[in-house]
Amino acid sequence: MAITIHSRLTVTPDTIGFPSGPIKLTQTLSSDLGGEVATIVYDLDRRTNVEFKTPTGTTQELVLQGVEIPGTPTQRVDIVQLVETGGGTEVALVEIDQTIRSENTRRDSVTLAVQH
Amino acid sequence: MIDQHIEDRSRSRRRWVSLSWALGLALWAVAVRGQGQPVTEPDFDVVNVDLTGQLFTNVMPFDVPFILEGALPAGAIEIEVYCTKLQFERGKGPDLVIPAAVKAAHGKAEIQCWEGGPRVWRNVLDPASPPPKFRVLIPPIEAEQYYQFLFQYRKQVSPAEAKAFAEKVQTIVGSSLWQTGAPPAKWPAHGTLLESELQTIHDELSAALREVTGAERVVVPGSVFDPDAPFATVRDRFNGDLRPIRQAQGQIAASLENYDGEADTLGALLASLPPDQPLLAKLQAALAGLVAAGQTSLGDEVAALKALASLQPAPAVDSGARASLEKLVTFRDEAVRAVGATRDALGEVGQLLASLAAGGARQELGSSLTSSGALSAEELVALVAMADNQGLVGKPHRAAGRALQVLTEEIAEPLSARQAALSKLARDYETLVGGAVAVAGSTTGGVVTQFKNYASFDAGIAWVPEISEFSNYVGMNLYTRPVNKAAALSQLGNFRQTFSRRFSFTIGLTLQGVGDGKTREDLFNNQSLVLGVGLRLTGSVRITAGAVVFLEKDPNPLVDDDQEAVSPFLSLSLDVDVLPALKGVGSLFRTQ
Repeated sequence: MAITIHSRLTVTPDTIGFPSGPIKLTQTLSSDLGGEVATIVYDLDRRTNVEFKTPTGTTQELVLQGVEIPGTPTQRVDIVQLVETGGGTEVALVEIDQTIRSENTRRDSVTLAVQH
Repeated sequence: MIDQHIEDRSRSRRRWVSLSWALGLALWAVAVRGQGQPVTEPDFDVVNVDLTGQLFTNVMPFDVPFILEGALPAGAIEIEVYCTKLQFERGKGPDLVIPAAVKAAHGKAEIQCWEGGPRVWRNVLDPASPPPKFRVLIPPIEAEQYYQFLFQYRKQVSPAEAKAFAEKVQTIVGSSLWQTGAPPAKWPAHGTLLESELQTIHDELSAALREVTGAERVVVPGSVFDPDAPFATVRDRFNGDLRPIRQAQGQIAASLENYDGEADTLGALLASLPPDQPLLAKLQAALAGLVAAGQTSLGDEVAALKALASLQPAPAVDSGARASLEKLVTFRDEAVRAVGATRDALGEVGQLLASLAAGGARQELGSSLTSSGALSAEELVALVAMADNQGLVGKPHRAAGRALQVLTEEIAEPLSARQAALSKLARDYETLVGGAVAVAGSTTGGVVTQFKNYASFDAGIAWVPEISEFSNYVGMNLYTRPVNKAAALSQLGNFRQTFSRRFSFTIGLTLQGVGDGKTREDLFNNQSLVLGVGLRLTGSVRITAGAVVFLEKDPNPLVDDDQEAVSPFLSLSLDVDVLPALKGVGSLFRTQ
């Protein structure tokens, strides 16, 4: 089974400060086999101290398991928040990488401008 | 008696001539008292400067204001002139100051050339028809000094320069963002961009802007091209400008990984579908037999099965393909053709296999193959199953289709988004800098002021009381420092401050003899030597004290042994340069 990206990942807002407000990640996906379950992973650059804020703390890898991808192109939205832990990384642009794992692996990404 | 009378009349006439000179000089002295007043422009020396060649075409005067004149740099609307006095050791020459330091050094008291900031020239005419030359009045500078001048001019960035800059933006941002922060195997670069990396790109753009405008500074206040703003204040705007491009690159990079993944999958699946796969080879042989027996309509099916033997794996994205956007697009086009051919070949075979059990003419073909014993019923079922999504043919066909979708659709979006963002950035920056003020500079090498102004020539009338004589003389005045006679003494300071410009040693000759034939003779024929020290009262009038040197005759007429003798004098003299102007004045006092 395999996932197809129909509309690339987009981000709103595309300019943030730290800590950020809710960041909306939007994408349109489909499965070429009428529907399948996938795992979606959002990653941040390990060189930086920018992390996702979660109910239990912060992390640089956000894993969403058991995501249903229908057979027809369907838009899905994930909401994340970013924080800076520690200080002094001097990040100008931060990229959120996405990996979708099912029969195949699909990658996508968005880039946010950081305001200081 | 007659001789005595004639001699007395001659002496009297000489006294009147001398007195008329004295009166003339006095009148003229009064007339020139006002010469310290500012002079009109035609009296200024004009020094030409070649900003392109960065040199002056003549030596600069000293102690007087002068005009610097030069060809106007294209588009210049204002020129500021800075000057630095160069420090140097005798015999070594001056140490030139690097251009950027000239302006900075201008304000330092010990090396400034004049007070009151840079001299400024502004173009007040229609900018569309600029004058060909600029003219700047320079305050007096010192003699025998080395100077370095900085001409800093302002101009507006022209539309052509803005357009050239836009092209540079595309090249620099396109190239820098593609590569920054990643090894070639990972291009296009993506991921986090650090402030230091951002500043490097900003610096490259600023340098390019200076290059295309020929300026040292381009001032776009409040923008990312505000050279007076710390980078921290333009950083947020600049990273917002680059974000769409960088995001597109991140998505291109993700799509390349997706393609690589599908290419690997396709390669592995094709490896499990060897050209001599037994069942497919058996089907191909059976169909070829039917074609040989006259069923030529099956020729396409045989060709499709044959084509499986020459299937090409999807090409991998190597560093060469990632080197630039252009190379990546070229690779993409080639990969589309290769993967498309593979997908089409697999698709045709898959259709053939599926149709053997799908009813109609093809199903009859399958039945005839089993009834003729060319294939067993189990073999036919296995062949049909190969076309399934998970089948030996169907699975690589889907993988090829996904790889093709990545190449033709998924990656196409960020490729065009990146180009659109880059073009927009170039257009925005072209608009931003168009008409902005650019500041350029031209620094001269060491220039020197005049050296050989130690002497001047005077003509005057000397009163020699011991011999009761007025005597005209011409003399050479030797100064202890360079003196520019065109410089008004009153503008150079008070008497004490200008003493060295007034004081001189004088050596000259009387124009008439002082000899009387009895007690004294002239030193040379009818002329005697004049030695003294003088002080200029005004620019051209001098008072001198000294001694007239002549020969003293021995009172004994039998002794012919003349001795040098001196007699003090006091004189009033006039610079020879102004004598032509006195022609008219002199005639007023001429005796009839």
